[in-house]
Amino acid sequence: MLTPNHIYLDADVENAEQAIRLSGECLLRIGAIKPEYIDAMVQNWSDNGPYFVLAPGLAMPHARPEKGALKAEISVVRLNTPVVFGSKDNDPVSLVIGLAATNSDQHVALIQKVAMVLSDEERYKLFKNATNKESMISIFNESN
Amino acid sequence: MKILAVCGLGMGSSLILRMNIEKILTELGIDASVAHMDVSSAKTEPADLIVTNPEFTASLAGVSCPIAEVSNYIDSEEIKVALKNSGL
Repeated sequence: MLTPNHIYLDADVENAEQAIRLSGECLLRIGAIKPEYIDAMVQNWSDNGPYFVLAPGLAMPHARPEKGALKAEISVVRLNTPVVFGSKDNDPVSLVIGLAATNSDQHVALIQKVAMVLSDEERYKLFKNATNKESMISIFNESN
Repeated sequence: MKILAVCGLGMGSSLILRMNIEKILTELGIDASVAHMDVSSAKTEPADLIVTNPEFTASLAGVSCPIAEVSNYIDSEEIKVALKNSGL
């Protein structure tokens, strides 16, 4: 479930690393990770490339659970100006979903929820264009 | 039939991909098991088909099964076309 603390709208960042770090800061704020997890999120991008840019304009940075994830959560950062992650097909990115990945049933349930919202074209459009946090939260949290 | 959804860490992206592949398989009435994992585990895991991001195709060059590339993990149509083109 999302709360206002999970979300950062109208963020100004200059590059992909700042965008990743900001999504990590939100995860830290809600107690989902230890600080070092943020470095691991950036490291995953350096090591494995921008494969986690899942769709045009949408990135889901994360790291391995043992890098400091405490509970299964996502954060949502929407950028004022899209930034380039190096993804041939999906750059530039304007919506960043930070993922605290754990080895748990909660993780699977969370990803299921995320996949359901993102894969529903109408709902995803409403979600990413929401005018404020409250509206974004209700679009995400509604059960169907 | 065994399908692998593959990404860098085997945690997030590949799990979303796996869920969308499973949804499509159900739609198409195809009976297959889908697992998700990271790219290095996928190199040694027996499978009939690997579905992954173009970023990883080169690192999977040695595998014996076909590789289907998907750039948009949430676009059911793209995934469906990739699965069909792979001979599914």
